[in-house]
Amino acid sequence: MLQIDLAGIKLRNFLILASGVVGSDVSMYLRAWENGIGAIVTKTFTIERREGFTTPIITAVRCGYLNAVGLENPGKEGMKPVIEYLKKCGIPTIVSIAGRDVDEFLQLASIAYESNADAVELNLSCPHAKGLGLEIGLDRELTVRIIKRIKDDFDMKVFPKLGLSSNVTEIAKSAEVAGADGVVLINTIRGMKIDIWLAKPVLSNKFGGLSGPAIHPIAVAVVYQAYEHLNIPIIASGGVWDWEDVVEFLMAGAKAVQIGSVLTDKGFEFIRETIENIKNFMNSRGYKSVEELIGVAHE
Amino acid sequence: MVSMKNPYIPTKAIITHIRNETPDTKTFRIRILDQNEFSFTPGQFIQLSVFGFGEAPFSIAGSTNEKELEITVRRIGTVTGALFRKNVGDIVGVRGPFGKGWPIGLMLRRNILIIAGGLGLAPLRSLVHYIILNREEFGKVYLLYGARTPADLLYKDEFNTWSRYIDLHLTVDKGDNYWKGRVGLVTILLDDVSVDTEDTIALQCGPPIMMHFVSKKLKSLGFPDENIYLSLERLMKCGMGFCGRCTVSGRYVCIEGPVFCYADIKSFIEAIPEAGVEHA
Repeated sequence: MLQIDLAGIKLRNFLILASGVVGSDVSMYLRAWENGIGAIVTKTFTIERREGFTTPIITAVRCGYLNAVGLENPGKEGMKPVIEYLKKCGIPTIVSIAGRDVDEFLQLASIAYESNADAVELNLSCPHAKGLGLEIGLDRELTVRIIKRIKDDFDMKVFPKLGLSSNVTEIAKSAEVAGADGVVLINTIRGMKIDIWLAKPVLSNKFGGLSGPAIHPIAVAVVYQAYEHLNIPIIASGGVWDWEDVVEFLMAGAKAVQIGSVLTDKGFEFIRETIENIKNFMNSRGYKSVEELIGVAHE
Repeated sequence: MVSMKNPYIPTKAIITHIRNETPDTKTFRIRILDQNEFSFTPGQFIQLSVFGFGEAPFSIAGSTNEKELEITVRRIGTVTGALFRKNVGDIVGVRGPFGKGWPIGLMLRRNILIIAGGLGLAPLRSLVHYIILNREEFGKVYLLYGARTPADLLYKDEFNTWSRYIDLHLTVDKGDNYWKGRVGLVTILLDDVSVDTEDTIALQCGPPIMMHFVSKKLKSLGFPDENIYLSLERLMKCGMGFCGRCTVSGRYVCIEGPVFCYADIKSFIEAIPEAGVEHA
């Protein structure tokens, strides 16, 4: 009932752990898996080890979180053990990678490929790291080149994760034409909070990525619009806070849905409860499979 | 309207007293402004910010029955360096208390075996004070404490008082001309006491390698996993279960710890490498 085939990857359900929120420790991925998640996206790997930004790296705002962790990760040396461990546990593994140019993306994709990852997610949308993420993803030509080269060199699924921009649908379409197997929409949205008593930004990086309920309707609109132009699957991401939010994404046209910040607020049990609630919803409304829900809001 | 847990709102607090503990360690007493009391469970921690330098987590080392809170800090980095330049009367920021403390409910009317190494005595000092204040609620209480040298022992001036209520044993890795006590790692003190492993709760805090060897020894003495508790210190950035910087054995130290039952983090403690450590 809940199984999906995501561009050829078989998942027990459509809930995917979003990159970043639980860190890079495999024991946390395992805990998400034990609580029922359908697939894991690892925390983003970069070529070199990154310590991340100094504190404060997160602050809560009225309707979400603002974070600038700074792509903290062990670097490319840390990829293989994590991927191999997850694969050994039978967990569908999507490896998030962020490079500064085509060559860096290719190096990282090659390690993911050799470690038998199911797919790579291209971080083209982190809104707070200089020279990485969104700074790459807003360049449509570069995005296309990265996807093409990875698809040329490796027989592996590629999911670019795109950020909010005025032409996100066009960039998604270009990604599809370039050979992407699916697109992830959207990442956190750049934001800032100022401490008025100290008269300066709260986060050490000044800017952060806004996640949580505030961005959910924005993400639903992006997914809805992209669905009308794309043939490849859409993985939705942005502000899921309740099981209903997941159903909204499916109805807008997403084939799978990523969750992240909500785990900070509600704990890992959220995964189990969400799956249970969606099953009940489907039963009560007569939906026999997830496929019947996908894009239903368009008809 | 959705409301977020643990908002980032450091409360302003004033430093009211500073005491030198060792050459690189001080105890700061802090009063939260506009707040008449500060309530916490022994073993919990706060996030302390030195404005302009950042924020870091510190175990609460003071007593639960005092209006002010105490933290014992070793100077090791940016935030602690900036804190060491502060004086009585200066303002800092405090968030918390956070985390799970020592399992007081489970400890009532049982014997307690406390094992601390170095700065690891800090989160146990608030517990020792709590036990002394409620002495009749607990069975036999042992405190085994080890430090590198006699000069590195924390809270020395309280030892006489503590000894009137609990069984205190000390050791140092390296003695000096005046030291007449035990020399060696804290595990040797376990040979000096005979505890009823069936009815004793063991609590430890210290360097990871110490907790690795102490756990091993407690297991060989026959302690069940569920009677051993440890307080972990990990680098923490967000303190609210978001960044994943502090995780061990599938758990967040910041929100699910820092005190854990051995049964839950066994894989982490067992995996601490023994290489390079000489051990009796």
